[in-house]
Amino acid sequence: MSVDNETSAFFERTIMVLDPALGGLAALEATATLAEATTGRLDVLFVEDEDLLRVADFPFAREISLSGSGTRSLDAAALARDFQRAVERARRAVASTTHARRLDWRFDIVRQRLERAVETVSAHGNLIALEGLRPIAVERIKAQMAGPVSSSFLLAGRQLATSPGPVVVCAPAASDTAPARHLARHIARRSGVECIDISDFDEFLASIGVLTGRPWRPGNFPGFRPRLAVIGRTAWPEPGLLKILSARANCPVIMVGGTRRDEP
Amino acid sequence: MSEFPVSPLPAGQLYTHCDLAELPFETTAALPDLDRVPGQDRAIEAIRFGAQIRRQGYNLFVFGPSGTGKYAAVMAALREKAKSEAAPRDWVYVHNFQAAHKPIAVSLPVGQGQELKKRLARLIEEIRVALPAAFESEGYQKRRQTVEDTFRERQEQAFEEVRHAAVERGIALVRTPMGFAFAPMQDGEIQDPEQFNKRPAEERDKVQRDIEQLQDRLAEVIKLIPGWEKEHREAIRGLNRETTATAVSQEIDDIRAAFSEQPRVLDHLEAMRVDLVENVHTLLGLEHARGAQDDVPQPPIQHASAFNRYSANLIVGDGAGEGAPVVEETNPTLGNLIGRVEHLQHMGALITDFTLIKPGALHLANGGYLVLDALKVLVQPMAWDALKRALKSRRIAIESLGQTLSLISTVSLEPEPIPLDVKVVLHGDPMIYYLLGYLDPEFRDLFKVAAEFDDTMDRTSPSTVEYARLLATMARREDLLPLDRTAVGRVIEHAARVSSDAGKLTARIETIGDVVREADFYARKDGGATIEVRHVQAAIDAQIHRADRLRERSMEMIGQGIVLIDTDGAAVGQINGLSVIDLGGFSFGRPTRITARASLGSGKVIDIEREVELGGPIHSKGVLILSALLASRFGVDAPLSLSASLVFEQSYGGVEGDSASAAEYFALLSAISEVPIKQSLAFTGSINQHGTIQAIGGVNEKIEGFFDVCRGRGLNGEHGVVIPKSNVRHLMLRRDVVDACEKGLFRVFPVERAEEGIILAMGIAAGERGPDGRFPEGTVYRRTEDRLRAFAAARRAFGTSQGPEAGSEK
Repeated sequence: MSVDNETSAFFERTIMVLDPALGGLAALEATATLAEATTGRLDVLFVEDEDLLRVADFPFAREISLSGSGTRSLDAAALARDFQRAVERARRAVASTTHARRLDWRFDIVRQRLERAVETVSAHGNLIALEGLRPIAVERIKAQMAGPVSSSFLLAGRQLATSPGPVVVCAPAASDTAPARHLARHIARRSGVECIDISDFDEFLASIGVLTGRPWRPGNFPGFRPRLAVIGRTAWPEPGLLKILSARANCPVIMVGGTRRDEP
Repeated sequence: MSEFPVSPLPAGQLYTHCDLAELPFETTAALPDLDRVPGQDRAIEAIRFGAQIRRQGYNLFVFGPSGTGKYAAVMAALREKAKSEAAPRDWVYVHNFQAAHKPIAVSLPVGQGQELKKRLARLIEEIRVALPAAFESEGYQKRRQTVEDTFRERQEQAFEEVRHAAVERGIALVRTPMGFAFAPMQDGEIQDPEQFNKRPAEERDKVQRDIEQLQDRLAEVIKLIPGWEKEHREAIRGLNRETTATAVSQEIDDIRAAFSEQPRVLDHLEAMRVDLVENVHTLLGLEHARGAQDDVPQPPIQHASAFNRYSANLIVGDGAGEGAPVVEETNPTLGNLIGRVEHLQHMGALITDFTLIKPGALHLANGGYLVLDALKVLVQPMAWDALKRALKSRRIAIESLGQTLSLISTVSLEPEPIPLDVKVVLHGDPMIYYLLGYLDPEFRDLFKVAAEFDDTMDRTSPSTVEYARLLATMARREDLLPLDRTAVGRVIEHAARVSSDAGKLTARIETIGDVVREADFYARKDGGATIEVRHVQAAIDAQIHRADRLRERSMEMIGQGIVLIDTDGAAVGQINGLSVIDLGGFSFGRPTRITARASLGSGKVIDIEREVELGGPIHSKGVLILSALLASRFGVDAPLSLSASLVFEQSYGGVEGDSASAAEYFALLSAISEVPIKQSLAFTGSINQHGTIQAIGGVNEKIEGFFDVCRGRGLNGEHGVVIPKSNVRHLMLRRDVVDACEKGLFRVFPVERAEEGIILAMGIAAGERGPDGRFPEGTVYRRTEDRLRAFAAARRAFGTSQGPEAGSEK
C-alpha cells in the first residue's frame, strides 16, 4: 500500500501493544482504521510478559481460570505454550483485519516486562493503542502521561466507523492545538464527515456521552454519536478520569501527545 | 303366407323436406336469440338441480356426445347461478410461529385478504426501517450502555476488591492468558522469586497463605461471573424486547384495529409481536455482528428473507370477481388441482416457506363451481384420487406427488387444510361416466347428479322453429351473415341427415355450426348479404369432398374390377351386402360381395369371418341366428345334412354388426337351392329367428354407396337396395339418389319379412308350407328343402356303405 505524505506525516508508527491475555484485540478494527488514516501501516507488538514468567517461578503459583474451570498450577512451560497459542491467535486476527483493508502490517514479539515495553514505544511520536492491557501497565502509562510525552494514545473500546457522525476535537490552548486539530480534520476529511471543534472540555465530554444532562450546543439533538474524539495535549484528562473516559465514551478517543508535525 | 309383390318406395319417402311454411321469417335476422341449448331440457334441468342442491356428494357429471353444447350449457347455467350467490371468503396463508412447517390458513371476509396482505407488507417495510432506527437511537444506546456499564462495573468492582485486598497484603493480581494469578510484590512490582526465597520462612508462609485465601476469594468471584453474564444478557434482551415492542407496537396495533373482528388474525398478530421481540437480534443482524468478534468467518444473514415470515400469502381473494366463482381448470394436474408448494434453489439446496404455497383450482373455486374434463382428470397421475379425497373430506390438503406416493421423506411444508365447499362439474363422454360407475365404487357417492346430453332431438314444428332460432343466435354471436329461410330449411334437413333419422334433428350443434360457418364463407365470397341454400349446399358438399378421398378410392377399385361387385345378372350363392365405413366425422357406404357355399355335411354353417377371427361377436351372433332360422325352416323332420360356409369376399379388416345377416340368409338359401340372386340389387337388414327383417344403422350411406357404384356403371332401372321397412323413417337420401328414384332409375324396397326379400332377390316366391307339410313346387323354399333332403339321403347312403363312423359326425 502506498502512503501519502500527509498521512505519514502525523505519527512515526501506529502500534498496538498486545499482552498474552489479548484484551486489546477488541480494539483491532478501530486501530487498523486509524492506522489506515494516519501511518498507512499497523505495527503489532506482542509482549511475552516477563512478569508472568516470573510469577510462574513461584512454587505456589496457580492460575485461576476465567472460564470457571477451577485452578491449575502455573509453570513456565505451560505458560510458554499459552503464549504461543495467544501469538497465533493474534497473528491470525491481525492478518485478517489488515488483509481486508489492504493495509501493511508487522507483527513483533518481545519478551519483556509489559510496562517497559509500553514505555519504550511511547517514547517516540507513535500512536499507541492501549485498550485491554492489564491495569498495572496502564497505571504506569498514566503516570508517564503526566509528564512530557511525544506519543499519542488510542482508547478504542468502541468500534470506529459504526457511526456516520462527525469527528469532534477538544484542544483549547492555542499554542498546542495544531497537532490535534490537524489530525482530527485529516481523519474527518478522509472519512467524509464533519469536524467539530469543542473548546469546553465538559461540553466535549457530553458530546461523546461521558457526561449526561449537560447542555451541548452542536450535538444537542437525538442520535448524535461522533465517529471519533480527539483530545489535544492541553486538555488531557486527569489520570483518574482516564478509566471513565475509556469505559463510557461512545466512540474511540485519541489523546494526542504530539505528532511529527511538532518537530521542526 | 301369401305371396305379394314388393313396391319400391316413392321418392317422397326417401327424403323428408323441411316445410318452409313452418319458418315464418325471411332471414334469421328477424328471429330472437335462443337462450338455451335446444333439445336438452332434461340435461339442463339436471344441471340446474345439481347446481342448486347443497348437499355432500351432489356433484355433477355431465356427459353426452361431443359437440352437443355440454360445456356451453354447463357454463351458462353455472354462471347464471353463481351470479346470484355470495362471493366466497378470502384465504391467506401466514407463518406458523409455533411450527414453521405448518403454515396457518386464515379465512377473511371478501376483500380483507388483499387488505391484510398489503398492510403486512407495509408493516414489514416500516419495521425494517423503524427497528434499526430504534436500536441506533441515543435513548437505546444510553440504556444499553448503562446496562453494560453496570455489568462491567460490578465485575470490575469485584475484581478490584480482590486486587485491593491483594495489594494491601503486598500481593499483585496478574492477568494470565487463561485467567489470573497472584504473586508477591515489592516496590510496586512483582518480586523476583529468588528475592522472595530470601525472605524469612514465616513471611513466605504468610504470603502463601494470603495468596491461597485470595485465590479462593477470586475463585468465588469468578464463579459469580456466569450468573452476572446471564443477568447481563437478560437485561440486554429485556431492553431489546422493550425497544422492539415499542418500535412495532403502533403498526401492529393499527392492523389489529382494522381486523378486530377476525380472531385468527388477532392471534397471528400477537404471535408476530412475540416473534419480533424474540428474534430481533436475527432480524437486525446483531447476532452476526457479535459473531464477527470470532476469528471464524460468519455467513451473511439474509435479513430480507427473515422478514418474509411476517407477510401474508394471499391464496384466494384477488377481489376481481363478483358472486360465486366458476372456475374451469383445463390442465388438472395434481398441483393445479389441489395447489402446490414451490421451492427456490439456494446454494444447491431447495428451500421453501409459506409464501411459496400456490393455490389450486379447488382453492379458486371454493365456495363456487369447478368445471373439469373428466378424461383429463383421469389421465393425470393421482389427480382423480386427490379430487375424491378433497370432496370426501371436504377440505383441501396440499400434498405433492412425492408426498402422496411416500417417495420423499424430507421435511416440507404441511399447510393447514382449508375447508372445501365446492360443486364439481365433470364433463365427458358417456363411456367414461359408465366406466367410472362400474369400476369406482366411490364415484356414485360423489357424483350423484348425472346430466346426460342427447345427440338428437325430435323433429317437430316447434323444434324446427327453435332450431332456426339457434341458427339465428349463432349467426349473431359469431358475426355470421343471417340465413334466409331456404338456407335454414336446408340446414335443418342436413341436421336430420346427420342424426340418421328423418324424424330427428342432430343435437351436435358444433357439427351444424361448422356447416353454417362454412356457408357464411361461401356467401361472403359471393358478396351476398345472407346465406342462401346454395351456400349451405356448397358447404355440405365441400365437407364431404374434403373427407371423400377414401370413398373415392373405394369406388375406384370397384369400378376397375379390383374389388368384385356385380351389378347386373344373377349368380348362385352370391349377394351384394352393404357396409358402412366410419371415419369419425364422415361415413360412407360400400357394397360388399357375400358368398355362400353348401355341401353335404352335418348341419353346420361355417362363418369364415369368425373362424379366422375377423368377425366380431355381433356378426357371429347374426350368423348363428340365421343358422337357427334355417334349421327351424328345414330341419323339422330330418336333420340338416349340409355343410355351408359364408364369407365377406375381399374383406381384410374385420366384419362387425349383424346388418348383413338377412343378405347372408338369402345367399345361403341361394347356395342350397341353387336359385340365382339378382346382382342389380343390394341388401341390408338383420334377421331374427322368425324371419323378420330388423332395422340397421347407416341406411342412407348404404343406399348411397350402392347407388354410386351402379351410377358409375349406368343406371338401368333394375338397380336398387332392399332395406328393412323399419328403416324407412330414417331415410334422408342425397338429392341425386332421390332424383334417380323419381325417374325410376333406382329403387329402394322396404321389406318386413325374409320372404319379401327372397322374392326380390331371386324373382321366385319363397313359398309357404301347404296342408301336406310341403312347400309348393318351384318355390325357393321347396327347392331348398329338396336339396337338403337329397343331402340327407346321400348322407344316409354314405353311412350305410361305409359303416358306422367313429369320427366327428357322430
